[in-house]
Amino acid sequence: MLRYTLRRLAWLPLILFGVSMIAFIVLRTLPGQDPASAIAGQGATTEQIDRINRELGLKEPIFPVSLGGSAPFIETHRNSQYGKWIGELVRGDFGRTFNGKQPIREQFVRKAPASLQIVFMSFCVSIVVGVSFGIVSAVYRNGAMDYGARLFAVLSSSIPEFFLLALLIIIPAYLWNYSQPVGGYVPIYEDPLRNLRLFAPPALIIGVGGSAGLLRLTRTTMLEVLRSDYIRTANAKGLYKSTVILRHGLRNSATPILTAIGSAFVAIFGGSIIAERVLSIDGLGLWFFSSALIRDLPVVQFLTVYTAFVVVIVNLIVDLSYGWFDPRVRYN
Amino acid sequence: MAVAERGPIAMSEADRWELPRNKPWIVRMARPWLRNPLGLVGLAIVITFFALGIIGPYITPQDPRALDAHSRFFGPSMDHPFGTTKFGQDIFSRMLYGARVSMVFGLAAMVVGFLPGATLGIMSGYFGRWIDYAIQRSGEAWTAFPQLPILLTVSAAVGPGLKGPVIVIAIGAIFGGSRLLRAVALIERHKEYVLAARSTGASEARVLIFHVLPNIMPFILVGMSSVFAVAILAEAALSFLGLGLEQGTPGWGIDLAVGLKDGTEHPYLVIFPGIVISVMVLGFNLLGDTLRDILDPRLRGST
Amino acid sequence: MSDNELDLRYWTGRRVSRRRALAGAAAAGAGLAALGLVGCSGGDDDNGNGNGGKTPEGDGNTVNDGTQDGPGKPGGILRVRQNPALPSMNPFGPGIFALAQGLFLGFTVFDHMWYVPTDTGVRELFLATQVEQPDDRTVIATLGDAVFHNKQPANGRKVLASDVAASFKRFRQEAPTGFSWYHHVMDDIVASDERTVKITQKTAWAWVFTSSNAGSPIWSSILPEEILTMDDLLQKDAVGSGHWVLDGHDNGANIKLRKFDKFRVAGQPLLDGIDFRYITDDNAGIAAFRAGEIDTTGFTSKQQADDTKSALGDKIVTGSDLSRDYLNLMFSFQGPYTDIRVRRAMNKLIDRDEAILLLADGNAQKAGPIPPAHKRYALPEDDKDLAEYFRTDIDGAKKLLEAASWDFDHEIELKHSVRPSDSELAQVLQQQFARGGVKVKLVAEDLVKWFSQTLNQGEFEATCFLHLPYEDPDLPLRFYLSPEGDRTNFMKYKNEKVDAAVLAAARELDEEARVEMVYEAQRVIMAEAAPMFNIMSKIGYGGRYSYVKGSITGRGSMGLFNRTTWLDKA
Repeated sequence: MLRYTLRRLAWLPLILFGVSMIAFIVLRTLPGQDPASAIAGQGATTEQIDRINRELGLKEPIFPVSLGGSAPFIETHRNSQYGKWIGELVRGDFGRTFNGKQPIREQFVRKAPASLQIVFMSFCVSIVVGVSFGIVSAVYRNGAMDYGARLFAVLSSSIPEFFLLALLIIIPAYLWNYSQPVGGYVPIYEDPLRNLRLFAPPALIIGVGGSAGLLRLTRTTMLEVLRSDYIRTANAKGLYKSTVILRHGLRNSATPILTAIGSAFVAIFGGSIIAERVLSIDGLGLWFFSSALIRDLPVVQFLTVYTAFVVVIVNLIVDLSYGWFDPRVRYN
Repeated sequence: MAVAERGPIAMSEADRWELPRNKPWIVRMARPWLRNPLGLVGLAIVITFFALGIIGPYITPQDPRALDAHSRFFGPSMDHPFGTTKFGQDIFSRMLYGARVSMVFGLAAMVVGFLPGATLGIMSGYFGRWIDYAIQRSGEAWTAFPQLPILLTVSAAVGPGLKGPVIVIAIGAIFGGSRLLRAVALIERHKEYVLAARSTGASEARVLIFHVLPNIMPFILVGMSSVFAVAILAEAALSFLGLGLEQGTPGWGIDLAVGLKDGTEHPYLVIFPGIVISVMVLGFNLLGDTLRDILDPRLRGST
Repeated sequence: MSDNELDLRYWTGRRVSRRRALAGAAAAGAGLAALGLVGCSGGDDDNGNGNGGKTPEGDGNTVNDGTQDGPGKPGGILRVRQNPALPSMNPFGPGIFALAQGLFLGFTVFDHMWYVPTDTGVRELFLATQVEQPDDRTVIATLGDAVFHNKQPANGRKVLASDVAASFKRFRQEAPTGFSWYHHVMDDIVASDERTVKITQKTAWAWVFTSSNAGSPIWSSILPEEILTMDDLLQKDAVGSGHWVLDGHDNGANIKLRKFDKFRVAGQPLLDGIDFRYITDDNAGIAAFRAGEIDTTGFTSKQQADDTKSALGDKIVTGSDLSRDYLNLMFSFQGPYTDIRVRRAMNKLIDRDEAILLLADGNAQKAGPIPPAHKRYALPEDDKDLAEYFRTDIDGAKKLLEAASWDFDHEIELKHSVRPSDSELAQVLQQQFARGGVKVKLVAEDLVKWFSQTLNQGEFEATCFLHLPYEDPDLPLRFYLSPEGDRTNFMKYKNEKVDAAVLAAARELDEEARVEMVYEAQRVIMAEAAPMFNIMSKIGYGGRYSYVKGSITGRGSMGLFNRTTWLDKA
């Protein structure tokens, strides 16, 4: 187990390396990318644009190694953009924004809690709703509860989150002059009520939206498990129904459910961008969005790699927890 | 990496795909539909979607683009069932017209992404080896990553319109399609009918096209319906964020986004496009779910 | 109040409420559209409320009560919406991103020597107590007593003439070069002694004190000399001698301003401070206002103002003011557009009345070369030439186009940004041009590309957009000047008659005479059908809770320097 974990972790830098390279290529070679003249603004002279290009190193080669020149047709570049960026990243320097030259690390640290909270809360909602409704649906197969749960699942995966979030802002204001405390962010330990008034509704919307796949899968897996011999045995032993379902059933259907939890997390991570945008929550998602619009490349780059990091780690945790639920799984 | 290779979901679903093979698949599938009203509803919605996508622009009661300074912000009424926009355009007409945008977007994603992906998946599942491994690994990497940030970055860089999004959605569909069909083909190649067909001396290509393909068609349909659902949602979400269609083009997402500017005063501007999007996605989801249920007879309600 | 009469002209016959509010912010003299760019980082900057400047204070303390509120009461913190976040606190750069912070800080943290409000066009002295112009190229200003905020590195020391000179010089390095007083007119600025500043100019320039010149809310800010080279400090903190002290911020969002106790005007400002709430979405902003989370707001439409008023009743006060920003259509001066008949025809195809209905629900006013908010300098509405310029004439346009052998199969490529203000205008123009048989193809571009390439490099056949709200008539006229050296115009338009008329007005120091010459310059621009056709300025709407009193409106960005807002709360 430890060796497996270590080996998976050893892959991590490689994955991040790959993601960051792709991000670099996409960000610096797609058409319409001219951060320098965007920054320089109206009536800027070529010298001013050149100066910005120089300051930001935008005219340097992208990668330390490139093809071309004479034999052996490989050129190396000491000042490549990627080389510089990754060098700084390794030393814990996340770089500075183009737009204002602010240290990225400082902003990241400030904005991360809001995003983490919304992702975490939505994630919990997803798991609770998805797994519990899934079990109920399987246990009462073909009953009203089952149909209700399945209808709920298909509805919640069909209604777009941004639509519900938009209504969340418009309708209460329209009807009751009520608003969530939009904008700003109060940590939950400072003012729990205010914090939850802001975060609970979107977490519910995003969480429920992300729960559909989980619900469907839990139901399928549970149905299969409930039909198996050991459940019949457990029932025959006269155990409480709840014990049978939770101890035996759930535990044995854990593996596919965990996989689905992993992908639910990924979906929620994306959904939080829209929530932050609509509710003016000053988190990483909004930051990513606005930076992508104004071509603040260092921010987009950093957040891309960060997202990959989180996703890889979550997947690793999911993989590792298979073994905890299902001793048959061997890591090798 | 033992864990990752289990592929528990697709495998187990594919395993169950056992129906009598003496009739064409379409006939075999008809019966369960009749027992599944929600599936029929989904089917009806999907048919409506394609019908609108094809003839929608020709049956709009009013010109969806013409600006009229004297019919601005009319609430829903008999003349304008969904009301009118800020520019006096009939929203109902725009919704009818807008199906075309979503359909073309979905079709593009399907042709560029899903179909090649599905082909790759079948090949890799059927023939295995290194191509299988490569597709598996890259597919895992892609699906592990949230799609919205990628969509955002590419769309912001490429600029307004659906060119950028279609590339991203198509790439997603390549991986999605290949994964799904690979799992199916993996099972299928060991089935008796395949062995039987082979033993008659049929070429691999012949077996694949005339024997395997008809049997996995329902899975391809499942995949396609989810591509369309994703395409509709992606167009809408991007337009909502100001990155999709140009304003003025009649499209569901962009109309919702534009309506939102006056949403506090005229909620119907937001509500109707939102409902249209939801219903259409619901249709594809219901259809996909029903197909899945039918493919999995042991879980079908009645058995 | 007498300015009600003045305003009646701009109300298109509507009843004038005594209490008016200015929704719009001031983006005086700022580079074109740059702020929209920054402001739009949220993706949807609807400038319908004339809030083109989008300085955080834009939705801020700009509601006027006149004097009927009685004497103001000190104390209290005003809560207002902020959008966007400032990229940094550095007013110098880089590039256009400096405009957002420059404007915000320029109206709050930094002090200036003088300012020229839009309504009167008459210079008001701030830090300067006396200004002399011994000849038409020299300005000598004497400074009053003021101290800097008690922060590193100035630590509350006295404001000196050398600070003013050094700040001007530093801003000159950073100001965009397109055409600016700092680059093309100012020769030098020196501190003759502790209290005296002497500005020399290369040429006589009548607009010297206005906001797109040496009275810029951005580039005439006064900073302590020693901070000018401390880039790291500048990015995090702002130190000035203005009425507000920058108390804190979250990387440019949720800015907190606190009263500067030692401000040069004793007792002002009345408020203890202003807290900004970073709200990026307009609907969320309105919801927050309705819920009483913020004290003031801008509205995106009259309807929104009316609805909010009927929902909240006496608890709030709403009002309006004509925006200084204006929509325009621009052709690149090449190909068929070098033919004056084609240009005239294009202008005749524009139906400004319909545009006003479609884009502003009728709540806007047609804009000539100088937009109507510049009351002193814009041609009066009943002006014969202006009326002719505004007249829609489809048949006349067709005849002109035929005479100029216009290719009716040609599709004009109208590029516009995805900003709602711009793409809505493009749709309206497309339909109007179709009536004359002129085909228009709309090309939407994202804001960064449109601004940096299409507009700045002049890579367009036609483009349309919302200008920023400029504070003086100088800048709107300058857009028509021919390119020369590093002076450019977007259309690459060249016309000596226009140059002569515009420059003559700029060099006329006598105000009465200048007003006439500005009229004349506009007539020349219209007669020559210069290829930037202004269309309209919208009326902006704003609201505030009734307990917010004593603000200033109708005076352009002067309202943002307001120090007499107070809160009538228990």
